[in-house]
Amino acid sequence: MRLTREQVLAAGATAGVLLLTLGMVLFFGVSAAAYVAVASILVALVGSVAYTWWEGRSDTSVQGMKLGLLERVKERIQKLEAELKLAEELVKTQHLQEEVKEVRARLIKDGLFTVVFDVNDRQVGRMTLTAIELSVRRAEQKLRSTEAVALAEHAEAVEPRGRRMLENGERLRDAGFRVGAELEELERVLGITPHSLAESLGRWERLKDTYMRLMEVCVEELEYLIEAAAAGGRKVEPLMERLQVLRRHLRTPEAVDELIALRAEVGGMLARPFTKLREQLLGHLTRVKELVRGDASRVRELEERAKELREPSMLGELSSLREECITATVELIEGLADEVERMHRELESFGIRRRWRKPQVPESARTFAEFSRRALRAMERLAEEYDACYTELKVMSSYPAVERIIERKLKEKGEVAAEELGVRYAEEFLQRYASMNKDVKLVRKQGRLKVRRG
Amino acid sequence: MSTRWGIVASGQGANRVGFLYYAKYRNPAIDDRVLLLNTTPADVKPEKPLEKLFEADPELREVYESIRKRRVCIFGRTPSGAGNNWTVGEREAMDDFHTIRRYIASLNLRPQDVLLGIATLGGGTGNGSLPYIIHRMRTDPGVGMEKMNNFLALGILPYDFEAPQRHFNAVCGMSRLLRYAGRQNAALLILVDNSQVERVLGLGGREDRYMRINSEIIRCIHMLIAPSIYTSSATIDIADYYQLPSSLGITHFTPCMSWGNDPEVMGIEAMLESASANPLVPLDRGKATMAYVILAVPESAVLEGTLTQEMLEEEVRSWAERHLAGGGGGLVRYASLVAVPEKRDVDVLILLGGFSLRKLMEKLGDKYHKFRECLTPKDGAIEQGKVEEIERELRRYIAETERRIEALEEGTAELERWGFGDV
Repeated sequence: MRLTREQVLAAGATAGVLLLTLGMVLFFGVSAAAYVAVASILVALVGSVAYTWWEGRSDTSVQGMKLGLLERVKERIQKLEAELKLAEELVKTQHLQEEVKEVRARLIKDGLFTVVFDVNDRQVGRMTLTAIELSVRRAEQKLRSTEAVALAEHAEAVEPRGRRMLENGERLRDAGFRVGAELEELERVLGITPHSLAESLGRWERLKDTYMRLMEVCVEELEYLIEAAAAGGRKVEPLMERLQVLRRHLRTPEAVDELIALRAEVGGMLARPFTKLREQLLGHLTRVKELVRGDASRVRELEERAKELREPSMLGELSSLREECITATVELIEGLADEVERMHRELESFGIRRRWRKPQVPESARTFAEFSRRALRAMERLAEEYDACYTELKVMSSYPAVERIIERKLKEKGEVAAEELGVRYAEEFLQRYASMNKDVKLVRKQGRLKVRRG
Repeated sequence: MSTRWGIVASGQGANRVGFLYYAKYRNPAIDDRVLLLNTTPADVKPEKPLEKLFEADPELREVYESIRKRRVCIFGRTPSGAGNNWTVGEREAMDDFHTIRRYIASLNLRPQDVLLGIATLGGGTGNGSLPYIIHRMRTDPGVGMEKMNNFLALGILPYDFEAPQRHFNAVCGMSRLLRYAGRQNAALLILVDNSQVERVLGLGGREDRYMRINSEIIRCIHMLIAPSIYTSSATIDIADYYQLPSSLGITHFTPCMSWGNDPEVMGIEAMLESASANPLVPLDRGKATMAYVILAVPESAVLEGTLTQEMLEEEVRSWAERHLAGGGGGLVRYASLVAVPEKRDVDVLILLGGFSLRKLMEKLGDKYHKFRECLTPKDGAIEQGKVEEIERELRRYIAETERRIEALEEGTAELERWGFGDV
């Protein structure tokens, strides 16, 4: 028979006291032994109380552990039951739910839970921790295997659906919708491997949300395009009605086809105004580039941006670019006019006055074509005047040096041809010399200056 | 840069040029190596020659004060100074040469460096001292500069309207700068005539003409140095300037300049024509035998390839065939295209050399003789013997120059030279 801890403690304490008393009697006499006996009784009493208290505490911890185990397994059962319910959207989980019910029943039968699946405190208190642990472990094993099956089936069900969402997204992107970000997100989520039923359910929810977002982006884009077509004077009511219907049925398999079809129709409406405006802009910018005197980087930048806008759906951006183009053109015209005026002032310092009138800067026009016509006319006049002033200034600045060359050559040979001067604007130099010296004449046909005879 | 330049400006007129260079037109090749030489009366107020400059620009006075101690050399023992008598100026330099040498040594020039002496040839101090100074430095081992060969001189000729003694001084000074004690003196003598500069610049009667003329002279010096400072495909080293002319015994040159040419308008040919129309001494066209051509152009034009060394050489060859004696392009010819960062126009310097001195002697000769004839034997201040020697040397030099020109103009048949008889 195995002795309990208490029995052992009692036996040991008794033997100890007896030995101590014997020792006291032998060494210190009976009176000393009497003190030992009284002290022993007191110690035994205090010791018992302390032991009893300590023993009570231990009992409480063990109970707490038992209850903790049972609460945990209860949570797991409830969680799995909820997840299996959610998974029913894609897979049959009835048999799996039955398995979970069996686990419940077994636990109730073991006395660990009541029929309403509350923890059976009193029964649990009577059971050992080990027994409870065994029961819980068995239940958890069963739950794990049930969840594994559910995960495998659910993940398998998500895969083709996710792929289809991705394919739809790609079709919409290829049709011209700007859904690149949403597509990337779909791809990323589809690439995740779930390791629990909860993860698989979460993945499926994210796929659905992202897909719906993608579809809504397409709807918004269509709204914008239809409005742009309406602004261009097209009849768009039927399209708008179809779009509103579609908005309510985005989850249907036909939604994607309808989105694509609507886009094609509205794109067709926008194609002509888009192409026309793009051609006008590019033509205008090409001509402006030719007429600009100085830095043409702004014009080149606008031209590049216009070239990159190729889709009729980009009509909105093209319209914004048109406004920028108008502003830039007006600025260029004003800059060129200022420069021409500056050159006139510089020519006046040489005693040359040019007659000209500053062209009007077209600030408003009914259409871009009209604006372009007026602006280019103004720029052509300004560029022509600029070139004329530029040449005159170049001639005037270098005239003193060239004049001496002309004089020398006239002295040597009595005549000088334009090509003999070795300068640019040679004819202009000869003309100026002739205008200032009456003793020479300019033979224009030959491009030659000759000293007058006589 | 490998070659550094120092300037010694002797006499009042040269002091003005030298000081302007220091104060307003600093060149990295010259830096602060500018020495102003003058004789004793100037000791009382050495800045006197520069008063007019200070009036025009008061800040220059501060600059002068900063260099006074180390860059202003007062030499000579006579209290009255040169008195427009070049022989006195020369003697003052002889008597007090160690002072001058000390100041020149403080310029810290190395054997490969250049010393450019500037003097107005109409005066007494600069005109008298500079030829002697150059001669001593070149020939006297005791001076310690005999390893240095690069002694150039810039001689400024008097205005047409100046008095005969100044023309007399000028002829004597020019001769002595060319040849001294029977041998070649300055490695290169650049001649500039004040009246000619005035004519070329169209300055007649202007208040600021002296300043403008001095500025023009300074620009010439800048251009001379430009190939060694900036990037050039064909640099003209200092030795290139004088070695060949020295070996020919012809070392006089004059600048012909054209500034601010618009490269968009003027071709190289026109720029050269423009420059050669403006020599800074009177001379006969087509009577020069040597030319150094320097074009300072925008760096961007060189990088873009719109102006190249090859283009320049071709145009210079063509120009030289038309403008140098003999129609064969002259005896010595260099061309250098210098690319200057941030420059927008083109400056041209043609250093025309070995030209006939006929027109120059026409300008100087009459007044020279007027004064010469007034000299008496007992006029100890200017020795007759010395004057005769000067005239002799000058005549010899002129004869040699004319001979070179004639030789080019006549042009012996090439094969005859090699002894192939009549061809």
